[in-house]
Amino acid sequence: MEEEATPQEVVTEEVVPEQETAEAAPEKTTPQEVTRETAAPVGTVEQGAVAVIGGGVAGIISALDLVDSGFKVYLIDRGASIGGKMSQLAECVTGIMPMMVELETNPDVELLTLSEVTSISGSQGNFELEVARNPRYVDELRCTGCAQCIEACPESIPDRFNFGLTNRKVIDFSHSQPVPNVPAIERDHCPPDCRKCVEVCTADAIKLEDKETKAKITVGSIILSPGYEPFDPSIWARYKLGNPSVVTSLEFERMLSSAAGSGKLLKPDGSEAKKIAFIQCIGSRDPHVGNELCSTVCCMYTAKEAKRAAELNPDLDISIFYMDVRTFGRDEHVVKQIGKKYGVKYIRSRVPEIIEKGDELQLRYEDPENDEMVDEEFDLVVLAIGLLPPDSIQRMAEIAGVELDSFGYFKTELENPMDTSVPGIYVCGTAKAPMPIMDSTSWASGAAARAGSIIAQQRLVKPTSPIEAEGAGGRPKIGVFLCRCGDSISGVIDIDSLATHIERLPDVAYVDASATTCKDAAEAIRSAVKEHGLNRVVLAGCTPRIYELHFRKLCEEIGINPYLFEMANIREQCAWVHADNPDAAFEKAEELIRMSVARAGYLDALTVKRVPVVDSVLVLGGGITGMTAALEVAEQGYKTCIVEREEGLGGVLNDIGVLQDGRRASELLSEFRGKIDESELITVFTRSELVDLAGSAGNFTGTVKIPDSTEELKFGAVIVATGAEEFKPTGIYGYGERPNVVTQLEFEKLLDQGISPGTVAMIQCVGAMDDEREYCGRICCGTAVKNALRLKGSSPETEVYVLGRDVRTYGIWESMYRDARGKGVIFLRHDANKKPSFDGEILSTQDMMLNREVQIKPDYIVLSTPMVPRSDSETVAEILNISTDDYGFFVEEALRPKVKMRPLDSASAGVFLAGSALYRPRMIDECVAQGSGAAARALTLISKPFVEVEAATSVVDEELCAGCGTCVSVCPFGAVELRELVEDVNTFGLVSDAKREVAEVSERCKGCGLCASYCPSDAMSVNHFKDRQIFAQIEVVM
Amino acid sequence: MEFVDEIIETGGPILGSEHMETLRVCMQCGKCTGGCPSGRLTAIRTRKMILSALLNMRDEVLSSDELWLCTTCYTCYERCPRNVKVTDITRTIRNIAGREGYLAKSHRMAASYVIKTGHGVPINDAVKESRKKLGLSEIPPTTHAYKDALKGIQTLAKKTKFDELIDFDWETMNLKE
Repeated sequence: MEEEATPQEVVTEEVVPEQETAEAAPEKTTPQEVTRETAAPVGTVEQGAVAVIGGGVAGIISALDLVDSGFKVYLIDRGASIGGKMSQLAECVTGIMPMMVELETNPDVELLTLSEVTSISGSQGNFELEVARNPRYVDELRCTGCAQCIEACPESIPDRFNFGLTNRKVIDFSHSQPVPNVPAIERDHCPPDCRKCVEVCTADAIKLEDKETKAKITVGSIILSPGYEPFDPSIWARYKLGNPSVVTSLEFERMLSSAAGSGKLLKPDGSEAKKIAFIQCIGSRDPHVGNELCSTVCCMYTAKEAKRAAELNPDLDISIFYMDVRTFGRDEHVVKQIGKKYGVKYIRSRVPEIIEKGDELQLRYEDPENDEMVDEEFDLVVLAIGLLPPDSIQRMAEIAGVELDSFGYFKTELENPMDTSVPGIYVCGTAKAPMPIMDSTSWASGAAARAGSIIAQQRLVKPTSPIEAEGAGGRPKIGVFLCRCGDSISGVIDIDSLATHIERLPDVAYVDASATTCKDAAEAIRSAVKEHGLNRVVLAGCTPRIYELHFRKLCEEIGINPYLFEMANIREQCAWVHADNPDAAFEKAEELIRMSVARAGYLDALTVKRVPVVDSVLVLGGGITGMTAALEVAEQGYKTCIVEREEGLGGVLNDIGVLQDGRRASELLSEFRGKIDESELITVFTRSELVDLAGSAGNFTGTVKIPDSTEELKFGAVIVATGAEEFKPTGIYGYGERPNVVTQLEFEKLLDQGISPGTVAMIQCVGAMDDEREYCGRICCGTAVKNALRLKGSSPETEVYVLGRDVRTYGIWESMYRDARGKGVIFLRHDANKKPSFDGEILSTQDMMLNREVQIKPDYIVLSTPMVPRSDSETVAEILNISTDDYGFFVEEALRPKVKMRPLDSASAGVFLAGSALYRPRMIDECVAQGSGAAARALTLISKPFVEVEAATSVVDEELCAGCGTCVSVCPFGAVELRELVEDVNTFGLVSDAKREVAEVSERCKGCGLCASYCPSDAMSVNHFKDRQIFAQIEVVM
Repeated sequence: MEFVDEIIETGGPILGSEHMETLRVCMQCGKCTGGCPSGRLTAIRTRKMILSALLNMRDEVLSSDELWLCTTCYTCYERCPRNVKVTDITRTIRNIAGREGYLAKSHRMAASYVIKTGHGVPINDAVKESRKKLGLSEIPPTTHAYKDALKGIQTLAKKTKFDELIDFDWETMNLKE
């Protein structure tokens, strides 16, 4: 790459002292050779490379994990920008934007946009790809993204990104803030002999004669992430997609995006929507369109779209027509919330057609709850379209030589859910099966781990220079940079006028108002700092949550201490929330910037501490997830240690008889156990528990209680895979007293014995979705279907009833649900408030679909109970300093922009989460994907020689500290301790070696500031948030 | 035998058992009922009828009036997202109901016209007019044109005991009262 020869990389690296690493590792064999290679300086090994085909959210996450652990990535996408469908989703775009920019600026990433792979040859470790690069007609290297060509272009065409709701120019950006930030020309639409763009371009970047070119790249492994194809409902005339008041859910996302500006939900004809119907399962659960599967995500996104619409206009009348609500985790709350707060109605009916009645759209449906036929008019209908395999998948499969499954997705096995049929080629995201963003990103990290294992010997971590507290000297010379954020800010706030206000502020040496994107802003900062000798930088744009780290890194590159950078949020806090009042937005923006400038003057340069990394991983829990994680880490040459509480490995899988693919679970388990036994890099402690954790990310010390003694282990990262256990519903339906009332896991054992009873009734949601446990167990419907099918297989005459509410067989499970019905399993539906009753002989249920009581005389009652967290999950959470939800499941760092994008990262740095312990139980393939994914996340940490510790943390003034210990008791992270201070004190005469206690802050400090606010003697303060910095901000607006 | 199996076995020899087995996979989405043209005017609730059959509610289903409200337009059959062959299943259930003496009077009337004229719906002036417009012969080449063929149909009705099934009175050439 061109940027490789920067002076920074010549600087001698600060590598971990070899001795320390060796000592730090927990056990036996020393993979020293491997470790050395991973930290090799530039140029000694050829850097391993991966081709990621498809630049949507999954591809982006895979690419980031790979470059972050020392590999090179070619990211190939058909579109003019990376970002995929996620960049079209109103609520999600802010999550993916920073990731896109991070990729764009990473020298180890090569973006090949408008490109398609035309051939793949070779085998794992050495694939050769031919890539056809379609002409952009704009030179990516020359273009500055100034957009003058777009201004000059005379021809408008419908904008596909907005589904034709708006127009674009023939030469235009594919959407706001694309990556790369270069427009493309839809050459077929150019007016004859028009060369307006060529004329205005000052960079000589327009190349109207561009032709398709071919590129060849060589890589060690390949990740396929082509995403999905949204179902096109226009093939059905009866859904009237031609009517402007009928839109698809993706179009509705764009409407919501536009509404963010006006605050009004406008229909394509310009009028305001008042009554909306959402119709679910359009193109899903329907073999007529070749998709019998459930698309998994539509229930969730529909609830969110309804919520956003209702937030815009609380008077909106919204109905959602559904078959089974399949939302899990946080999304369950959305469903409840929209019902309670906005009166959104859920009606269980699959609406067959839309009837045009003048301006209105009429839906005729059967309302089973009220047992009546209804004709109802709406003024907007949203079709919740499903996910199909991408159009390109067939061709991609042929080129790569990989197999597809019977549903048209890339074929994988249960225990290798990222591995295609060709070694070295992996899959992630919705090309594997329909899945939500959170699963796509887990899968993407998993695929990164798999792809990295092929080239683990070719890891190349580039050294960077340490950050020291220099360069803040002299009078503040502040540069203020105002970003327009496409038109997102400048559409509301007059940026040029704002600039003239800012110029007059004290200490402001330079103001720039030219940037329309983050990349522009970065360029502007880069050149102005040099040219004008600036020593502090203020950026007024979006929220610091998204881009602060990115810009801090930039400052570091250009010689400004990253803590002398300050952001003013004039997008979310001004332009977006005050879109209806530009004057107020302007005034507020001016004040926020004034505050930032005042604060910037008082900022201190800080030294960033580096902690040497211990390159091994502790895996907590030896179930399928933990075993996968350990194997994955070991495959890349690093040591792991599994700590398992039980006698042996395997977790819940030990209690399962047969898997959904028909194999015995024990076969799968012995395969995994065998691999672990073989690995010299994996140590297993059974009947053991982690009882204490000290240190911080990169350098932890754990105390493990093993039978009869304790062991101290050192490791750089922790993967938490402690799983969950089946809830035992003592007392419910006589469970615990009646021998024929069992749980699903217990029923598996009975099935192993080959029983063939006359009648079996399964009852769903026992102990779930009630007052005590509000959550859906997520996997229980699938488990019931699996076991019902197994019973019907071995004993076809047995009558099987499943008594439940919604049947939540998402994704591929839908086809098993269909099969179960086909084999004669009867599903009955009851109201959450009218649970079935059992008198010891007769099981009675009020069936909602027939509105009458059904009585069954079962030989067995099987209770489908949810998985619940292990009883000690709160203790584990406390030791690891991670958060739990109301039930004791671990939760990820739920802060934007990380939420969904990094579902496996806990709020505690260096601690990663996977499997059923993490926020709702998971199926086996999902556990494996997360186990691999968590390994990839841990590898990004332990493959580096050191970690940098956040410097905006607490500091103690020992002079003032009275050693009262208040800070110790309030710190939620266990980061403060008291230590003994020995000093000479002069109190009515000199006292030598006087002892007193003072507070000491460790690397676990997160900079939350609790200690500083509680400290009675003002001895505690937080770097970067000193009193004088905050007061300076307050003073300028008071 | 369970009612579900009876339906599948009854329809199987004519329609194929795979065709009939689709009855089981119904997931109760209600798309059939919501789009039923007959249901716009009548009390037919196709979804509930299918569920009742699945729950082996034989007497209720066979004796219900709504069983006879289906016009066999095949809309539900075409649209069913589980490919349940709804209309054919309904017709099979009617066959069973007929055997059990539950034939609706309107259907017996239509059947009597088959014996009387060779047509469930005999030709009328409007149809004759339409046929002329389309360039067809005014009278179709059926029993309307070949009166002798009607004898054959009546023989068949007797041999298959179709006449007994619908309670046909050869003396009055009408349904028995």
